[in-house]
Amino acid sequence: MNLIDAAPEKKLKVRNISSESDFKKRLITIGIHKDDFLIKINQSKFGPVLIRNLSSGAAKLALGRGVAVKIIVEYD
Amino acid sequence: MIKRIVLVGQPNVGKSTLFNTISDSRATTANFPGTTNEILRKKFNIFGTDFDLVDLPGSYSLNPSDVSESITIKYLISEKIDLIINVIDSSQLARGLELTVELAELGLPMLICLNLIDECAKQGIRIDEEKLSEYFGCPVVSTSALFGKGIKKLVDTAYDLLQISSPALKILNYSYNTEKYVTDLEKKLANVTFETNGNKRFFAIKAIENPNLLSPEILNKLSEEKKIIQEEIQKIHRTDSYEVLSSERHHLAMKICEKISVVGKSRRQPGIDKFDTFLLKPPTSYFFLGLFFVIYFLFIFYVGNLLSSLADAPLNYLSDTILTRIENQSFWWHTANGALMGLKGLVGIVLPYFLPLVFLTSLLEETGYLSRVAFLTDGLFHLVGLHGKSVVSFILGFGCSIPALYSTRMLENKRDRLIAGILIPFIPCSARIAVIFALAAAFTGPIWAAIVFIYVIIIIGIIGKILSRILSNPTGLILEIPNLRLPSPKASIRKTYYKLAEFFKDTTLFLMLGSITLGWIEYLNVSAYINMIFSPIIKYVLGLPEQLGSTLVYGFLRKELILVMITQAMGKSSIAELPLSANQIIVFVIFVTLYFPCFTTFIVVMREFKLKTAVLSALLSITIATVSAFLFKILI
Repeated sequence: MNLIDAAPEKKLKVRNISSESDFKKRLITIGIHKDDFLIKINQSKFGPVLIRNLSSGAAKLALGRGVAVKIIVEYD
Repeated sequence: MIKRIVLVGQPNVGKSTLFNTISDSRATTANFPGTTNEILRKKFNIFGTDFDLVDLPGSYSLNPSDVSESITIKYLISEKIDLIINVIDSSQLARGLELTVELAELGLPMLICLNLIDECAKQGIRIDEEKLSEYFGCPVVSTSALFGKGIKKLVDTAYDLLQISSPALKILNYSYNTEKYVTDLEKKLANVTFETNGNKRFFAIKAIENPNLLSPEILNKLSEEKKIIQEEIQKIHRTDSYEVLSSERHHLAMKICEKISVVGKSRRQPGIDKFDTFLLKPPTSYFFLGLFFVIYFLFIFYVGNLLSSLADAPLNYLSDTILTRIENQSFWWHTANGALMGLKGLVGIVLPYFLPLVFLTSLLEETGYLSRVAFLTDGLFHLVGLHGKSVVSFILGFGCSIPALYSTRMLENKRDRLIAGILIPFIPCSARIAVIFALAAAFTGPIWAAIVFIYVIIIIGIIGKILSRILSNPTGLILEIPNLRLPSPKASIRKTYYKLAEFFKDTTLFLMLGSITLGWIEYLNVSAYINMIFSPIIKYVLGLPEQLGSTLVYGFLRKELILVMITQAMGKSSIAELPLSANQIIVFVIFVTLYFPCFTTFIVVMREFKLKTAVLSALLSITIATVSAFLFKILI
């Protein structure tokens, strides 16, 4: 499932980033890698998705819906 | 030769605060990622020796993905650097170390600065500096730049390091296969002498993950092997080499972080996190956002009005005192009058609105709320083909287009920067807001001022939508939301002062020259010719008196001058006496609000983008202004 479909407040593992290079590069650069653990903080029908990357520090990250849909995750 | 120390780190780790503390300078800092989007330099002295301190724009990695990051990597490769101080947010150590691994690969002398150590302690994290130092083979110093903690030790350590000729950094090895690829390429570079910074290992790694950073000479040397390795990586890992190398660094950084840090009980106040939830989760988030915008604009409007009225009397007194001493209507009288008008515009109109805007924005940046505004307005900005990160540029645009245009550097991709760069000049800046309020509100009531604003916003939306259709490949929002911090009014006042100083430094020359030129235009009495040239549009299309043609030319040089020039052009002593109907005022205000803001903005668009963009943007705004004013003329 993608990040938008995932339930909030559950520990998620990044399985893949299904996107073309430039976009994927940006996500990797800012700290989202395959096998990282995330927690989705908000759940809304519109607007960006808010996550916390548990693997590389506690910073919150806002991801536009177009970005979030490309992050494939699974429940840990 | 003066030795050079360069601060390098990821965005929002406190580099600029550190820069200010070390050099006793006042660089702009904020709790918003990517505040420093240009290179800052300052000389400072340790034990009687001068050093150059350089603050580079924040960069997540040495594989650039926006303009600011490109500036950083270009500087690191091509400039003379004696020591790198790698600034890390110690509360986010694992992510910070990914850049440290890359910097170690670059091979320049380095010192690691674990900044924000107080925040790290609050989160219950303890870091073993010694162990970290062993991993990279370079000294590590913990600091809290905001409170000046650890700065002396950092500066002393930097001084000591600069006395050693070339302190060796340790090489951190990747996994077996990747390491083999790197060493194979390194061997190929055995006989190459590098004219830039960076060693064989650094360029071998970049050849695999980001060949764009290599010089044509190195690229030619490695082209075949690089291709084979990239294909092999693709075959084995089923992903591109960039991701593989990046994952290697990520795992190295996480491994080091695990070995050197211990997480204990957090001392962070739970109340702050709860409040943050209110700010980020609907419906309370949108209530706060609405409140924010209302307070923000009311504050700017009322404080701006107050300051503007306070500045009037002394400026008029100064103007009268000087002009009465010069022969009336002489060349020098017009020159002085032009310069004084420039001063009046700057101090009496731009400054009063710019001051509260910059102060309030600085205060909000300090708290970290501006990132939350970007998050909450993302959906709205999608309507104009941008994303929430542009909100800062748009808010700044209400003060002045120039700092707003500079701030677009924090947008990652060219397309977003271009769209923002074209839209920003349409946002009514403080000078145009003054014109709208003074004319529309005075003649037709505040409702028309509101209509003008709404119309401009609709126009911005339509242009944004069209541009986003033409320029495809939109990027989504990827924005770090920093922790909430209490604002420091002292820091905000300081920041406001230096931002204003920077703004005046950039624009005063153009403004004064423009104003003096206007004085000469008046002296030479060429307004009649200018009016004649513009009369087809002014008189026949917009239905306005021909005399207003020269006012619009003055407006191009300085928008706020319109208020002064319109009365002069019509031969009246105050705005209230203008022989214009309410309809004509509205048509005029619409035109003034939408046509290209000013000469200085034109120069900045040209500098930040290209001459072609500046010309196209100017033509677009003039066309839209003419069509809009004509529509208002026939519809109202």
